[in-house]
Amino acid sequence: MNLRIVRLSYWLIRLRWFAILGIFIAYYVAKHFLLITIEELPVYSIIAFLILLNVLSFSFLKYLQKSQIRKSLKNVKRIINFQISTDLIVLTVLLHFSGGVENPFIIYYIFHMIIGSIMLSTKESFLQTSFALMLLGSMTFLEYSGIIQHFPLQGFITSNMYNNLTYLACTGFIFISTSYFVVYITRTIIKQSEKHEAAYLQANAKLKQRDKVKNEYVMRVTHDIKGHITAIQSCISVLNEKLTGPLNPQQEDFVSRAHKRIQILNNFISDLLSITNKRLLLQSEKKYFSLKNSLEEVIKMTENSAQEKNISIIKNIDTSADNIYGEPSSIEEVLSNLIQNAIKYSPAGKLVLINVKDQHENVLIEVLDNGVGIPEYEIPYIFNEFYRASNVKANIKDGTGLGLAISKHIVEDHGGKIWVESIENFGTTFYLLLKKEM
Amino acid sequence: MNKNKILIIDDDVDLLASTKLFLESKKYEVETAINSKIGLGILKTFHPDLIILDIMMDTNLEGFNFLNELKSDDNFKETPIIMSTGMAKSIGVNMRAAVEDIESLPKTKFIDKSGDWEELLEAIKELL
Repeated sequence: MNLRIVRLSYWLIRLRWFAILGIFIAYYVAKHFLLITIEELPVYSIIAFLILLNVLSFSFLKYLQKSQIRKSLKNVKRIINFQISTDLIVLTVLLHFSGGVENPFIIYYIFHMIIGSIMLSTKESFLQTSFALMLLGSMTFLEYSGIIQHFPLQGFITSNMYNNLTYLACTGFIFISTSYFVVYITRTIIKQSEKHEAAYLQANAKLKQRDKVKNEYVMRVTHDIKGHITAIQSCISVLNEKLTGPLNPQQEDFVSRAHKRIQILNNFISDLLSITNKRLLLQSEKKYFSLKNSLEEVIKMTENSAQEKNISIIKNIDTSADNIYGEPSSIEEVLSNLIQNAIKYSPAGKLVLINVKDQHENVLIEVLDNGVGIPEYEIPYIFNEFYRASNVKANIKDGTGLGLAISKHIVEDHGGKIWVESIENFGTTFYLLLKKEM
Repeated sequence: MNKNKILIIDDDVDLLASTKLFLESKKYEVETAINSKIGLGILKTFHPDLIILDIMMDTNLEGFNFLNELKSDDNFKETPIIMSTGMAKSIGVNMRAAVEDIESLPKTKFIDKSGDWEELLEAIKELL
């Protein structure tokens, strides 16, 4: 609602630039093509005045937007009222110098009434309409009674109408009824649309609130589950490590199975907690940090799993792409997800290549592997929560389907982009575009 | 060579029992405490070389409160501490930033309570 008013105020200012241009064109056409005589000085004065009004309104609006929003909303409404009233006065003056009530442009009062009805309250709209009708009526009366001079549109209107009482009465009646009717219809339509907008906003807010409650619930439950799982894992580890003495081969086999499964479950819960948290946006302490250091840290952490599969990690880091703005531990989480995936889905003995390129305002990180790849039709889904590509589900059981979803959340929270190119059975490249500056 | 002494403070008895067994198998001398109050008591007699401290116990900040008491005691303020939490990485709360205000934490490490002993063992080796 607030934003709508501000948007409309700018729209009004834009409209006025067209109006100024319109006045100029109308004047030019009337004078040079229709050969109608119109007073020159008032027209130019009015154009100059309108330009001034528009520039002032624009700067004032900008100023209000910068200052406190709540306070300024009333002021924005005031500006709109002031602008519409001023426009009505300007139109009246312009009409007065160009034929008064005889000028067909009197229909333009209706425009102002519609614009007013869109932007103002019902009461204000009717007040502005009455003000417009009062201006037109006063001008007509003053010209009719000879108190002010009538400027006829010579060459256009051949007989005088401004002092024809029957004409004035008929035109007046039609004009007044049309005006109020137009305002009534416009207000009805606007109120309907405002009602819809409010209902939509309310529904949206409710949904967001519910989502938040749901996420908090998931987080609490997951955290409680994690406590138990961690304890179970620890207890099974006692058996698995044979700290209490040897097990027979069958016992050992089953304990080892249980131990593996509990590890997978624990990773899954950690990821679930992480993504729920990302949705609740609890964190984000962004600062400038060294991408190179972070990357080296992550590579060091993944070294073990790389060595196990005899995979070499090769990195090319553009030295000018080092300092970036963001939350280091989150970015490290993304890098770790991508590098660990590359290792996990590569056959033994292959290479994982990491390139960091400077791209002016951004840094592009590429993580390339010669792994199993992703089937083409599944590429659009791999950043979805809980999604795992069909060709890895069967072979590699410890994926949670959350790593890439978390990464995407993080990257988007940093105003960056993440995407993937992949050829099945050939390899995958993940691209990570991060902003250098705030 | 004297065995290194480790005090574990955690409100999960199962985790305490199993971790104690594991660390003992790695030739550490281990004592456990179920809350920070008992932990403070054991501290005075046991004089650990390292403390593994759960952050969220009865209250969300029990671990931090214990840490504050510890660091105000001249006898223990140099004792290395491993802060373990179920939430550090997963919740993304920057634990280090949360305590850096308290300064004077020369030897502190944060790990995610995951039941992964390797990570714990590495952290212990790093600090001792």
